[in-house]
Amino acid sequence: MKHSQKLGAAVAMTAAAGLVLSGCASGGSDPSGPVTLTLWHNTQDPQAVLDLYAAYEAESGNKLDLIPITSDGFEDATLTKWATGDRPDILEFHVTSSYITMLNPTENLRDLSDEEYVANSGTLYDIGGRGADGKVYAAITTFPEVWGLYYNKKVLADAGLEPAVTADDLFSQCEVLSAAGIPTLSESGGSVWPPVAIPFLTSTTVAAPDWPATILDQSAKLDDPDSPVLEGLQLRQDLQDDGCMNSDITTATFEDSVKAVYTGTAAYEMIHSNIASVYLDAAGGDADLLDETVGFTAWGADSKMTVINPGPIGSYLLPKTGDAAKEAAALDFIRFVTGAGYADYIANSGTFPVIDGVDDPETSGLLTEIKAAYDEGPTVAMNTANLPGGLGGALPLIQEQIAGQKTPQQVATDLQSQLVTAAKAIGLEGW
Amino acid sequence: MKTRAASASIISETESSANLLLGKTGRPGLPLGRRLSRTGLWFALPAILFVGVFFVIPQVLNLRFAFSNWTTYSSEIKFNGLDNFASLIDQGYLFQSIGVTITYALIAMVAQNVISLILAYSLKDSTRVNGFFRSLFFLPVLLSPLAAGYIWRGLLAPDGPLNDFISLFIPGFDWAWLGETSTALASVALVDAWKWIGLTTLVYIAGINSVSKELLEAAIIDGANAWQTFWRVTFPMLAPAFTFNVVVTLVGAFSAYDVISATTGGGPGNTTRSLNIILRTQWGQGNFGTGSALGLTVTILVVVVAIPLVWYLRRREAKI
Repeated sequence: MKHSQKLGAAVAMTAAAGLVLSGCASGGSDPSGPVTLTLWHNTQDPQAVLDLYAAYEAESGNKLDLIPITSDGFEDATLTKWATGDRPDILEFHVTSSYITMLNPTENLRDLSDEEYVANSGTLYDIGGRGADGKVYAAITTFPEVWGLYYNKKVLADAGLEPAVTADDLFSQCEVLSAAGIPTLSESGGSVWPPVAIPFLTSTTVAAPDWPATILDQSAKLDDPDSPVLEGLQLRQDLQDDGCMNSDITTATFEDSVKAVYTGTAAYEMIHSNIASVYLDAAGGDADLLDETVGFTAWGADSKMTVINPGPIGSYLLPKTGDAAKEAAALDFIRFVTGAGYADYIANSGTFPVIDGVDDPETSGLLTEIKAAYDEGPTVAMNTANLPGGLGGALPLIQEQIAGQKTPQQVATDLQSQLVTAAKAIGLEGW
Repeated sequence: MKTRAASASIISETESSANLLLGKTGRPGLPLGRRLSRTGLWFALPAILFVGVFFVIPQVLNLRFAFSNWTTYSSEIKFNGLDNFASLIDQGYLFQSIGVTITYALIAMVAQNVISLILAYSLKDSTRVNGFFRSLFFLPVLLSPLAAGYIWRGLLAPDGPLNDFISLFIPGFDWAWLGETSTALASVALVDAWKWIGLTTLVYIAGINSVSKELLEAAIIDGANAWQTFWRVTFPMLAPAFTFNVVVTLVGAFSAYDVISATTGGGPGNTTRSLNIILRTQWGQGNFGTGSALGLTVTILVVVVAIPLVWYLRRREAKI
């Protein structure tokens, strides 16, 4: 009996000590000294972004604890960590309206609408960075992703072809290139996200501007016979069925596709401009060699269009953490990367500025081509439209389409079903 | 994810604890109250606490989420009955992923047990050479499942070493082991078996070496050949090890995630999309309620399969 009493007392004391210690730990950081900020970041961050982080550390005396989120499955991994209740002080993530909505911003994110960089970014925050409530929750430092086709210059020149800018171009060139034993498009089914490029670029470039609104008011569906999404899915299927894609479509990663285009074993890769750094790596860091070998063109299903999307690299959100000192330091980080540190970042990265007051950098011919495509007049990518769920469930469904397990019509129907589920979850009126 | 080693440890601890609980007077036929000895209870306490705090309590706490509308869009969580399961069935995810999970587990369990039994019999004697090979086969157990998956993803690539080797005999051989729907599931299950084969081999070696020498000599004197000695004497005596290995490999494979994620990510299409893979996808889309429903499905699957299996194999042991 005595033993039991002693044991009980010991357990009680241990529990009490634990409570006291946990109480101390939750008191927050010392507001006067340097703090350590956790930053969930994409492993695809180029060196210039990492240098920007180091510059902030040197400037502020604070430390950034970089938590890497692998770029393959980046969205899933981030949202899964988020779902556990874990919160970084700074989150590098997608800043499309649909993704911001998934973070329940009114409760979880800090409103940055009144920050100076927002006013100094022209119309940038019309294409992203805002929640469904219209407030700006993001800081975007990197030039938007421009979607289109990377191509091997020599392959096209040898075949007497000009870069394809429409679906008809791709189909007609496919006949020529296939005869030469070269796949027209290198598709990366082994990576999670690249196969969405064809359906989303197609749907974006053929959809009427008010089409997303007709989905929201339920006068149209994603699986209607004239649905732009269905048209995009069907176009992707036709290219595959016509033998215009690589044979290792189910296993190739986007790095494999970069290599294929760079080495000329495929003619095109449809993906976004932030992959330019991977192309530079493939060229051994030699920008001149890359410019000689690889080009970039905007593409649209019916006519050439430049589709853009604010990307996750260099886009930041500030979660509410309840730690005043860290929240102040996190805001200081945002002000640094959009202010004092921005010019150096642009110069180091070779990307084009999105905040006023910084000159265009001297950069590679490939990036200049991407900027030229952007300057022709960008169209915002379909998944940036505030469709419930952001068509985020498209990835596994398109994987099934690639494997021949689902038709384009079935994928579109499943996407519509997911959209309805998301609309109900958000609590949209009438759903 | 619960690892195979952790499962083995828990089952082993639970078995040991159960034996201790029986005490000197413990007999399976007696009521629990009479079978418990005080000393046994104290020895079992750490294992009970461990299993309770890290497995039972989280499972119970998680249960309600499977029947809730919990999503990333709102902090409000309401009871929604069986809607999550209905949604998973409507989308074609539930039964398809259960089928993949069971097939995967069966392939992994059979391959792992057959191969490790052969290895165990070959390496049963404690010699230096056998010691080296035992260590060699155990090395994959120490590898991270993700690392093992990435290694095999490279080995099984269409232009990878395996196809290069086969091309020596069949020129131009080019097969996407992980990219073809006909071979992807079996390939990934075999990678899983490879990863854990060292563990089951050690259990079988211990079982084989515990078989009485006199019994084996008696069989030989009675005229049994090597195969008959193994099949009629050694194998039946391995019943406890067989029970342990079959249950651990099967239950472990039901929880498969890491190896699949690293090799195929659930593809091609939905061919290797196990319950835990689709669970992760649902969480990634912010559908935490349906994700929890899938987690509960894994738990139910484990319980529904493991309890009858253990009961049957234990009865089989008793008969032997």
